[in-house]
Amino acid sequence: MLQLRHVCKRFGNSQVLDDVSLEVQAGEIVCLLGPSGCGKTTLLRIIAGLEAPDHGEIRLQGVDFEDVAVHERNFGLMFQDYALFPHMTVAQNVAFGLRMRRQDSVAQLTSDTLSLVGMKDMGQRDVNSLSGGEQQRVALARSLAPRPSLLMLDEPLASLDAGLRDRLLPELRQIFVETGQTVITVTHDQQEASAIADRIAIMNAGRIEQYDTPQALYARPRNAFVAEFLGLGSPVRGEWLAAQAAVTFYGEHLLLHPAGMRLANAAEDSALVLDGTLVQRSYEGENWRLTVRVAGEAFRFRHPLDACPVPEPGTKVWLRIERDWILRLE
Amino acid sequence: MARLARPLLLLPLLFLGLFYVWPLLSILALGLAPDGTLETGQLRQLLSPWHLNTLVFTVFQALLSTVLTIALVLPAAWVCVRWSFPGRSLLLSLSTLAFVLPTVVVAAAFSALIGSGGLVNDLLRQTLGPNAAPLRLEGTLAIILIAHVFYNFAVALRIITGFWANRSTLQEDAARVLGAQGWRLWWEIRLPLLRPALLAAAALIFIFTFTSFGVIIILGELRFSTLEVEIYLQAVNLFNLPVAAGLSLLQISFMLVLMLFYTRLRQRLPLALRAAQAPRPRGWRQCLAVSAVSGFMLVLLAAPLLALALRSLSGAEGLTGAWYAALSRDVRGSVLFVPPVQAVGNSLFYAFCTTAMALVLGLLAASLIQRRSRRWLDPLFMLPLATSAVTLGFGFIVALDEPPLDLRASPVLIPIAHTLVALPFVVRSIQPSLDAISPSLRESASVLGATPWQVWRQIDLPLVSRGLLVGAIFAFTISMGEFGASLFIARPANATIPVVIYRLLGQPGTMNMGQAMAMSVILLLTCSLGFIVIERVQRAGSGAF
Amino acid sequence: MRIAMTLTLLLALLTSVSAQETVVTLVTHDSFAIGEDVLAEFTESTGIQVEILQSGDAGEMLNKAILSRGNPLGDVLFGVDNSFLSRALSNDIFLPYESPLLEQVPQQFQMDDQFRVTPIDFGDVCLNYDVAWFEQQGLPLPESLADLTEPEYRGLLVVENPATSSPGLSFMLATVGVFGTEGQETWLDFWSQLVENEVRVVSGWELAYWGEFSHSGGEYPLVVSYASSPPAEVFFMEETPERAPTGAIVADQTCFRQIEFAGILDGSEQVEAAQQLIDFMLDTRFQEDIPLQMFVFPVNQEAVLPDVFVEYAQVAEAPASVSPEDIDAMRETWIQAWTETVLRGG
Repeated sequence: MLQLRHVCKRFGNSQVLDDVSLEVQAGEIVCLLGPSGCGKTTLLRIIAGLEAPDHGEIRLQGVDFEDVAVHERNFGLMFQDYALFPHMTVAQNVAFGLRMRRQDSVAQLTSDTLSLVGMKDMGQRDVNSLSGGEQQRVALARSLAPRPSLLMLDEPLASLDAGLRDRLLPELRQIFVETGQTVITVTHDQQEASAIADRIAIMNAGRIEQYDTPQALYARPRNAFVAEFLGLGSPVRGEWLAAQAAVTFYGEHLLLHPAGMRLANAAEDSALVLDGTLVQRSYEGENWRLTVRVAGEAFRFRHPLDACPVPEPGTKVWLRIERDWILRLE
Repeated sequence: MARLARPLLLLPLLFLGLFYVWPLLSILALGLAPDGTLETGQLRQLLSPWHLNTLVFTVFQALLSTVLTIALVLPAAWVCVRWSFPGRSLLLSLSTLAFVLPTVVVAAAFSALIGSGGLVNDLLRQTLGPNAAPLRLEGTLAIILIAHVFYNFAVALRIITGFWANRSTLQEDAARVLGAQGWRLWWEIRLPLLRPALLAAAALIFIFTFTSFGVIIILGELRFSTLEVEIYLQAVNLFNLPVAAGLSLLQISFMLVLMLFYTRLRQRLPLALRAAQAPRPRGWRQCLAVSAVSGFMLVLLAAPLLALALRSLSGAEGLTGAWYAALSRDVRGSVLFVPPVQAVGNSLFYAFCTTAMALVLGLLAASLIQRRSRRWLDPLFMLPLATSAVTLGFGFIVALDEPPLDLRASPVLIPIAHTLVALPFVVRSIQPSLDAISPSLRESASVLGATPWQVWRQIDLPLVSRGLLVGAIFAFTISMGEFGASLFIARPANATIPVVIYRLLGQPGTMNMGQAMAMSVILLLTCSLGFIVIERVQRAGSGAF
Repeated sequence: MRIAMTLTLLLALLTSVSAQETVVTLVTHDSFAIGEDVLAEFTESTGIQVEILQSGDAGEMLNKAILSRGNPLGDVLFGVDNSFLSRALSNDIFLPYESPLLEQVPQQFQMDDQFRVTPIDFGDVCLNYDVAWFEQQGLPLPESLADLTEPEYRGLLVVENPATSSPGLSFMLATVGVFGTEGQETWLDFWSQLVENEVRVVSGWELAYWGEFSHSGGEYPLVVSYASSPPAEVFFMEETPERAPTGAIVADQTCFRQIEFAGILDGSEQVEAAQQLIDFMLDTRFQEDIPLQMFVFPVNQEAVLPDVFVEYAQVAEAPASVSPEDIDAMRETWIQAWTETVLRGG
């Protein structure tokens, strides 16, 4: 439905977006994930039409959008600070987009949307008197109400506390799925991204590093940045691995994926086993979370409680690595 | 707003160019280079110690007046924002009424109050004995400062409260939690957060007092002189255009530098805006604060006005309405006689035109300036205030002399001249609120489908409506009280209230004095009525905000 | 905006005069006044409409006329007095016209032999006194300007600043005329003595007369005003009093005479109609209306003065005089010297 091709944007000396291409299917929930300053908000603003790209094109259902004014795009954008209109009530805020687009039965749609976000009876409230979570819901309702062809959310949950965020995430996703809404959301939090998105675009320094489903990203990170950003650890060099075990792996960047790591009782022939020292252990529900140091490199992984026993930190251990989980990165 | 149609935004520039820059350049050129080449001989007079002393005094009294006014207004503004109490809006209106009175009338009111034979001195003599040295303020710096504070109190009060009332108290609460209180709360939190409004008010007051004219001549009795006065004396009495032009140029350049400095100091402070409901004062300390401040304002602002009203009602045998009755009697069958109803009508008509033009142009100008790259335009819109009225008046004669713009003798010039003066007030009143609107509000509205016009109408306009109200009241008041331009191009049919007052005062006969005072009271009443109407319109137009 | 534009247009339309009749525009200062029926008579007998355009005080009006030389704002300018006459004449803004009615005007008022300006009225600036006050104190009236420096008149006189006030300037000129600029005792020495004798200076006539003059509630029983102020006082009273509450001192060499002139502006397209207007202004109908409208005296000898003038007004027989050329050349120097001496203790 939405296609971005080779979008570039520069502010003064810094290249904020560098040749970004992205495709979003109808009904899909896409998340732009990346550290702050990676250009994800700018990308959102370019799609919304609030900024013009220096190069590249934006197509919606095959139509070039460059000359379509912001207010004619029929998009929704929820700002990080919610940008609720302070001089209007909750209901007036939600009705705003409906009025602007001259839709019928404004009152009905407004109250429907307010019920959808669980704010049914709060239409007459002054927006200045709402709590953070309530403001977030009003902002969401306001963006949703006109049924935008594309809804964009800029760090929608950033200013909420963790408990509230965990409760709202599945709720949000459910609302989007129920309404068949196409969504692009922006966040710097990978759990939030995984919980809400069908596909995630990981951004770094103005580029999209990888664009895939959460599962695929986790299982097959394309490069060192993605692996590190997702907390999968840093890659090692082929020579290093060869020096630790009598095996030959070619490649400059090899990711020893934590999903393939366990502590082993003894050297086993079937798998790759490295000599290391347990540096740290912490208990985490059904797993141990362990850090093992092998010849100057540290590896973090989860170790099931019911697997082999975990010794005190400082003890020499064997680290077993599944060959299938040794990934070659770009 | 930022994306409003470009030609519309250029309207204020066109207005300024046509009715300010062009006449000004014409008269300056005529004064400084009558034959096409710059005459430097005359200009050397500018550097005489006399003129340099004048410049120093001009700056000195303006700075002093500005600091004094702001310092006195702050507690009043605080009380008005913090609490709602009976008479709050009355005090605000009262302060603005002072702004409307012609200097001659204010001088009469002051002398009735603190003149050598005034009320205060009578009291002093009664209490301290007949030989007590009476208070002598005429011709002193003190009375100049008092008059400047009297005139400008409203400017500061309106701008500061207009901004403050919209401000959220979050930061203040935060600071309080962190342990700030008393003067530290003021010094470290309130004042810095109020900076946009403080600067806007200070800039206006400084310019206003920098170009002080009537107060210096009438109350200062010309024992001191400002550049504005010198320019008038040179241009009108001596018709020494080169020196008048040189001094005007000096005055304008000085203000321009100052305004550029001010523009740099100005910063955007997008703050949470809210329509807060002020509580009633509680406890004896709060009540005391409110009454002390209201009491001070009443003495400063209401006493001279009351003295005036009293004078308009007192005849040889006590209270009388004779002066009011006499206003509509045309004893001499003069062609210049203007019945009071007609004068009120004329004044209201010009004030209405001025308010409409100043608001529209002011809003457009403010949004034009709001873009970062256009900041340098800001001082331009302030300059008309900093320009000697007589210089500009002569500029009109020289520049606007060809059809279709032969407006030299046209009454259209009256609202135009008033608008030039009112425009900086409107811009300054709107600017702080406009700056405080977070850009995401406009972007949000835009994404939601609002056209640029709708964004402006639905977001900017309601959010600056309080500033707009302040601007409207100033524009209205300036037009109602102004008489220089109205006298400059007066036809019998379009005499305004101040023109009638001026004419009455120009003739001997007790009846004329009484009528002039009566007319002044009518001016005050008409203005108060105008304020009520404007506030109603604003409230109806923007809901509770 | 649309409203403002419409209103502005409307305003322009309302004020544009229909072009069918002959209209002469009389440019004048803000103290001008004349009877409505007088002008109506002029229109009736000649078919000429008169439009009045007041353009500021006398100085502003004249300067505007000079700045618009060749493309004037009107046809006839009225209100240039002898203190500004030289400036007006040297800037060549008038067309010469010798009205036949000048025969009825004494020679002393005709100050331009090329007839570029025509005298219309005159008034004497002189000391006014509070009759009741002087009676109560049993003090004799001063008989010369020099008397004012005597101790018995200490703190009794209020004058206007010549830099900002027309009667103030006239009074200063009277002192220049009487004491002269050279010799043992110059006019500035006189002023120094006045300052020592606690003269009060205010910026304008309004403040002097309304604020400081004891008749209006102030503290000073002597004020610089006009010889016609006493009849004006009587005229503007609710009931005619038995005698005037104020009086004017018109002793020799104590007054200064202001003569106001009219002239046809160069560039006028209605010269003939303008000439008719000048004639009319000299005619007895207009001249007899002058006293009660502007409180000055008509120059036409045949004009009959109103009763209140006959009874209460006096004319100075030998006012002090300074030539218009000297006034124009020395105005700035004198005013500055005066300011230094009187206001800044110089």
